[in-house]
Amino acid sequence: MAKGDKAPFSFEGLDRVLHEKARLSIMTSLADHPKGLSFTELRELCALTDGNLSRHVQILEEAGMLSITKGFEGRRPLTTCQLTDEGRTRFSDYLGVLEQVLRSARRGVRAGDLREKTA
Amino acid sequence: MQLRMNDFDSALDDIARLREQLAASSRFQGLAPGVVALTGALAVTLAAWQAATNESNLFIWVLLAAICAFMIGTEAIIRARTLHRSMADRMLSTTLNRFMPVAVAGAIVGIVVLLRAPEHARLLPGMWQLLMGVGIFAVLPNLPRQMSWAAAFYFVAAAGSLSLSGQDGPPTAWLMGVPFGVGQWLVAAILHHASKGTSHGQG
Repeated sequence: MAKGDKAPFSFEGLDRVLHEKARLSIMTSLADHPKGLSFTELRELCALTDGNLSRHVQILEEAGMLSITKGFEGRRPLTTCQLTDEGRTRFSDYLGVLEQVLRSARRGVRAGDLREKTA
Repeated sequence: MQLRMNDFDSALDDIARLREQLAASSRFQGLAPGVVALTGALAVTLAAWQAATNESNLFIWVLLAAICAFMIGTEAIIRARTLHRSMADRMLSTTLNRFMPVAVAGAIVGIVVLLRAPEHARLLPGMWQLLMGVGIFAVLPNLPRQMSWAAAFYFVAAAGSLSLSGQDGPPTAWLMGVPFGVGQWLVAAILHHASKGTSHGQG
């Protein structure tokens, strides 16, 4: 390991709140829909049950990453979720670290390929 | 093995696309209300000094514009790095790409008119205000929605300045100082109001 290259695989920037399959799915869906998504749309996009979705949305809301707006569409109640500025920034930071992980893994695979070829 | 490398590339492309999307839908918070208000104060101060000394040289306004752009730009880089972290570079380049053509147009118009057709110099305040309005509209997707009021103000001010640009109109100093002073204070007030609001959604 090169000097000064301390623990290159520690990936400390991987946010624990985001590093969970369902929450990652919710954040990705909302990142693709800047104007927000209804609870029903999120449930369908993420293939989650009502209970699971509520739990994970609550965790993300408590972390300040998304906002929930309760309103009405006609006479029907409508709950909408939208990423906050803080949520966008933290998700982008998280994706940046994930990108590093993938690049490291790709370098490893490439090095393995070369070894296989020269063996 | 080729498939595995393609998988990596595809995942990296998805991440890049998502990060672009996040940056594009985020409100740019690099503009500091205090610095913007200060540029308005500098405009009014310069106008008052020029009016008091019966001075009408517009080159000094080009210099002031460059100083203000440097002040706002430096502060924007520092704030963006703190507030937007990994999105800072993307957001700065998006904002700059949208505003830069207008700034360059303003500089070209100003320098060419002042050097080659100084008899039309009284049209410059109105033209610069018009360009400022266009510039704000260009950056509007990444600014608080209320910023459209500031852009509208600059359009109205430009119409006023152009219609008063005849020789019997008010001094050039005031045609510059009042609209830019009020306009920059309006921009600062909108930024201040937006920063007081919650971080929910877009401005």
